[in-house]
Amino acid sequence: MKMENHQLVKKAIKGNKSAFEMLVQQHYERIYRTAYLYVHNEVDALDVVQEATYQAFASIHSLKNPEYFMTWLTRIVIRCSGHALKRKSNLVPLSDEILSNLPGQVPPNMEESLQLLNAIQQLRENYRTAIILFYYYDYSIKAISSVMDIPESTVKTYLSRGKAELKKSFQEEEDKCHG
Amino acid sequence: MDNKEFKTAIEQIHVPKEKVFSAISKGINKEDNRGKGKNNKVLAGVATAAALLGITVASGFVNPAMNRVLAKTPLIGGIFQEFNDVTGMELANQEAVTELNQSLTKNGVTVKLTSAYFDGSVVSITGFVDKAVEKGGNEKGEVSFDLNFEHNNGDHDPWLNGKSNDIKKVEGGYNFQWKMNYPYESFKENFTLPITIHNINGIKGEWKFDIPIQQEKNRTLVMNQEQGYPEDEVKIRIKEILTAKASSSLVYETVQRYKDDEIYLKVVDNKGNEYSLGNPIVLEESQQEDGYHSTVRTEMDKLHSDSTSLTFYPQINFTDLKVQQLLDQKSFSLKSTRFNLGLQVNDVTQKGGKLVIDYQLTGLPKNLSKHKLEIMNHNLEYLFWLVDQEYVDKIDPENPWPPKNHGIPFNKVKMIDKATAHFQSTFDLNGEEKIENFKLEQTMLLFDFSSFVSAKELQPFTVELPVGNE
Repeated sequence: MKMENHQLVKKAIKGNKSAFEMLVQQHYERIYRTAYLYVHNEVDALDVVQEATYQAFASIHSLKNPEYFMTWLTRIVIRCSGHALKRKSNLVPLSDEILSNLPGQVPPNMEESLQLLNAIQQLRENYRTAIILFYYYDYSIKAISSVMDIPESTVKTYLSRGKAELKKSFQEEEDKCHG
Repeated sequence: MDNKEFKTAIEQIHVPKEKVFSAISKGINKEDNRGKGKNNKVLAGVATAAALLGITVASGFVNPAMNRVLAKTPLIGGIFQEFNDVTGMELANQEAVTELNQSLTKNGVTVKLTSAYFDGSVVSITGFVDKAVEKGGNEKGEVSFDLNFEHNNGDHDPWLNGKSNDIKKVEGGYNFQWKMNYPYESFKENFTLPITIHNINGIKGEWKFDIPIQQEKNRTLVMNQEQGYPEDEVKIRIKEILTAKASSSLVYETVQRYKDDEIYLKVVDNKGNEYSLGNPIVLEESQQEDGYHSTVRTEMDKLHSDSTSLTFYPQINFTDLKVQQLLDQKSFSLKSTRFNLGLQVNDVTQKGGKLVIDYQLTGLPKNLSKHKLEIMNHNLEYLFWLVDQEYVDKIDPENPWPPKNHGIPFNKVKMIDKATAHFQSTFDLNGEEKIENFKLEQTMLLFDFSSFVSAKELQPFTVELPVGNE
């Protein structure tokens, strides 16, 4: 973390609203996309962003080590996403329908990307969280274990099972295409 | 699969920056503005509707509508282009944006307001602040305004509810855009909006402006059609649609027996066009004999001129009141006030810094899928609250959360037996969220059954648009 951020986090812990807002804004893309990977649509993802910001701001005074700000915030975002998920019994999957609705020019790797997103969204929540933190956040096994509050060995299990499931659903898609 | 592939895929998720920033700002302001919590909740709630059925396409591509508009946007539209504001560009094309040239310098910082528009229920103001703001407390590239409209104070300012901000670095300073929801029920076509900027990046002002705001009369289609759902104890009344130059807004009323039930709407016209709804603002709320009435207005995509009817697809999320029990006994049972669900507590044990509650859920559907059980397992972590009995009535009903240092809102869940819905929840009594001077027999257990009931899609209904919709 950059030094000036460190100062900003300290200010935020003391209750400085604009410092806090700036910190969250710095990570807006990552926060939003993380939420999106759970809830699958813009409006719910925005809801998660709002709720996570609210919960984070309400409890930032209890953050002891400024250097853990991002890990701490990530944990809240993931918790809120999980919470939002339960409100939705009928989730809308990213599907072929979206593909067919895309405007004319589709970048070559788009289809693959959507397929991968689709597969991620089908993972069970624990695996999904581990996978997102590992591949998207580049977190170490140790960091993931602290965010998810589970032993490192469990993180490894989640990662390997998550990867296996991703491969499997990829394979199924392939088979469908060629079958 | 590697990191790169993974990241490329995730980057295909389009991020609506302005909306995300607005959500962040709402999240923050919800905290020190507890009285408005209900509003925020409704905002979030109704907005969910739009996406529930109609998924917003996640793509990294330029919106084709944007390209079309870009091609013919005059100079003033440039700033809206910077901020991805399609409405602003449309209005610039129609010459319906007021150009401003008001500038003030205080403590070495110059603020210049450059444009204003008022379309439907949206008010936008753009401006420029010079790079002297960088001397303030914020980091380079960041500009934060502390401001109020119409001589309001602090957060008690209806204009700030749902206000969004955007900033772009330009030569010599920063361009900015503020977008507000017009907060009043009846529209004034012409008015002056006083703005007071108290400080920018911590540099004190004040910078005071009076901004002329105007729009031609909106075209109003009055419908006043009501649809009742007696079984679910809700009614929805579609009141009117206002159509301005570049956007529309929908006004509707809900009547519900349970105040916190959330009703979402999706709107499709007879040509199959789907309209997305924005953040509603509450125009009127009251409790009457037949239930809680709430009239809201929400921004909506501009109504197509050739549509003759609109079909509304409502969905309802049920809520239940929290039930509670003092932990002066080891076993007891609790019943939902609204649904046929129960919680049978078998045992309560305190071991050092942990409190373990052993319980079974009753009245759940048989043969829950593994996935459902996992979700349930996860949810149970949030459904129990322990609150010091002295502080139970201090929970803000508008924004319920256990009072700091007097409640524990989370627990760890372990499933004991699937077939009998048997679980154990463990509370950390010395965690970040704790109860000072914890005594078991003075602790209230609160439980929320709401999440065990799925959202329900209500019968859609169609409203004919009054003739005269050109």
